[in-house]
Amino acid sequence: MNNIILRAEKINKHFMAEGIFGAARYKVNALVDASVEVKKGEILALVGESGSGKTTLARIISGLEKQDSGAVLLDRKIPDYKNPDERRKVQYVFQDTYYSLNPRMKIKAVLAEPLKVHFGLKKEKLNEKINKMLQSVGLGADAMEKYPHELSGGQRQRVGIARALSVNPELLIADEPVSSLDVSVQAQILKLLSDLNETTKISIIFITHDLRVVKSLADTVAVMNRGEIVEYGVVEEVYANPRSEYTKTLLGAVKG
Amino acid sequence: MNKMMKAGLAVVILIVIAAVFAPVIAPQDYRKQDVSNRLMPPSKAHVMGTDELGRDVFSRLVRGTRVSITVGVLAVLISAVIGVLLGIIAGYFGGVIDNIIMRGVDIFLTVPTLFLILMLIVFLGPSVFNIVIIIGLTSWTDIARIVRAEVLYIKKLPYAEAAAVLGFKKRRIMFGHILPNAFAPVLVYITFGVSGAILAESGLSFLGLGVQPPEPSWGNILTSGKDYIDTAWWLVLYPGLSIFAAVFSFNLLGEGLRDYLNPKLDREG
Ligand SMILES: Nc1ncnc2c1ncn2[C@@H]1O[C@H](COP(=O)(O)OP(=O)(O)OP(=O)(O)O)[C@@H](O)[C@H]1O
Ligand SMILES: [Mg+2]
Repeated sequence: MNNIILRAEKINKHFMAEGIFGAARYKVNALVDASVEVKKGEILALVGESGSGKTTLARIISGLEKQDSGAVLLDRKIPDYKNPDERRKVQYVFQDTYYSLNPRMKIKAVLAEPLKVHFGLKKEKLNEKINKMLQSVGLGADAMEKYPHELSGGQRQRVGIARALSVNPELLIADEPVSSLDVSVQAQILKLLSDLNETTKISIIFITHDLRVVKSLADTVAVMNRGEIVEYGVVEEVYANPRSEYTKTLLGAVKG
Repeated sequence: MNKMMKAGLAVVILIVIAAVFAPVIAPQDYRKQDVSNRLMPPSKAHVMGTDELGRDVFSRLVRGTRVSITVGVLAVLISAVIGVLLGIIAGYFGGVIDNIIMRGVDIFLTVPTLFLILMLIVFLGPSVFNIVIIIGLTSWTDIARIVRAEVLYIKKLPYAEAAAVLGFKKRRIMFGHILPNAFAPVLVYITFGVSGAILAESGLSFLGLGVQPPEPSWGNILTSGKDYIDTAWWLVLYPGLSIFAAVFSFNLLGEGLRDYLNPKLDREG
């Protein structure tokens, strides 16, 4: 197996949660020995109820949070996220479409910045590339001169995706990228992610609560419960033959 | 913009114009003495009367506007630069660095600022330069705390985290993404700060430690006028009104800005 892009091995992470009304702080095990892997071009879905540790795992993989123990391997080695060329390999798309874009920057500037920083693009080359990027996420050139609050949630999420893709990542982490959007828009953004995955063979970790989406979008699925991965495998197999009680309940809730 | 804010802004603009164009606006040389015309009440020749040395009070007030506003604005800018820098560093880096900076703030808070300013001026002498520096160096703690709190919040927002994941340098994230979004409260603070610094200078003048005569500031015009309060009310009324109008209008502007900038940010969100 040499096409494994990402491997997370036995990740553990705890948080100290504030007790309510000054009650003593207590320990939350956000992740317990969580392991997943993603191959090139593969879409892995992380599902599980609220608080099960999906975001924490995604943040650790992307370097936004540090694990207590366990290892994240990118292209078979521990990534040095201080190195720009390794840093750009994993990018993140956020749930909150408004705050994922700097409210004081025009879309043009949002997209130009990573291109300047990583590839030193300038002037015509830069504009050309921004145009291409907007096109690739289904936006027109007129978006360039707009501020985030002048765009719809769906359009902002397209910009967020374009920004993440601008640095040619190998792995895109999308943390509930459509849950703040209207249902009609959700389908469009999901289609966009699916198309991008088809055409560019980018690997995606997709976090969602929606098991129907998992089936239509993902290749593999990891079901999380209280920080543990309770079920993990190819989507069809897991759906046809769930092994853990927890997964059965989840699937039952969808069918029923 | 509400009406009060507009009124405040109008007065502030007037004051700034007076400060910038002081030599043009002043009808007479603010230094010219005329002892035969001392302590004259307001008249056509001297719209705000003359002082104990026969100098034109209006011309001195106009000149004093320049001094007082310069002291106020420069002092605030110094404190704002220090406060913003320390606040953003403390908030962004957190940990030990944050601890050190915030302990520094605590130490400053245990010493009453006015007392500290007084001590330093007694030691260093009351020149305009010293007053600006001393007020500036002693009043950065509030702004540092405000900025730190903003930064703590903003650095957790997705756009700041996106910048980190994109591999941007810390400096770019701090000054390109976080600071511009933390600037509204800084602007409000600066506006309030100017009136605070003007008041501080006036207070110092009252103790004889402000800007030194013959260079006029609103504070020292008022202070030297108080000796003649029984006979020459205009020596107290006009500088007093000037200080009051400036402080009041800067505060109105600050309050207006606060209301104006906050809902805007919320609306955008
Ligand atoms: N910074 C933090 N401080 C304290 N506790 C945290 C922090 N981040 C996460 N947690 C806790 O860790 C657990 C896992 O949280 P996480 O956000 O990973 O769940 P999730 O599966 O993404 O949930 P959701 O579906 O609601 O997004 C939760 O109990 C949460 O309260
Ligand atoms: Mg989450």
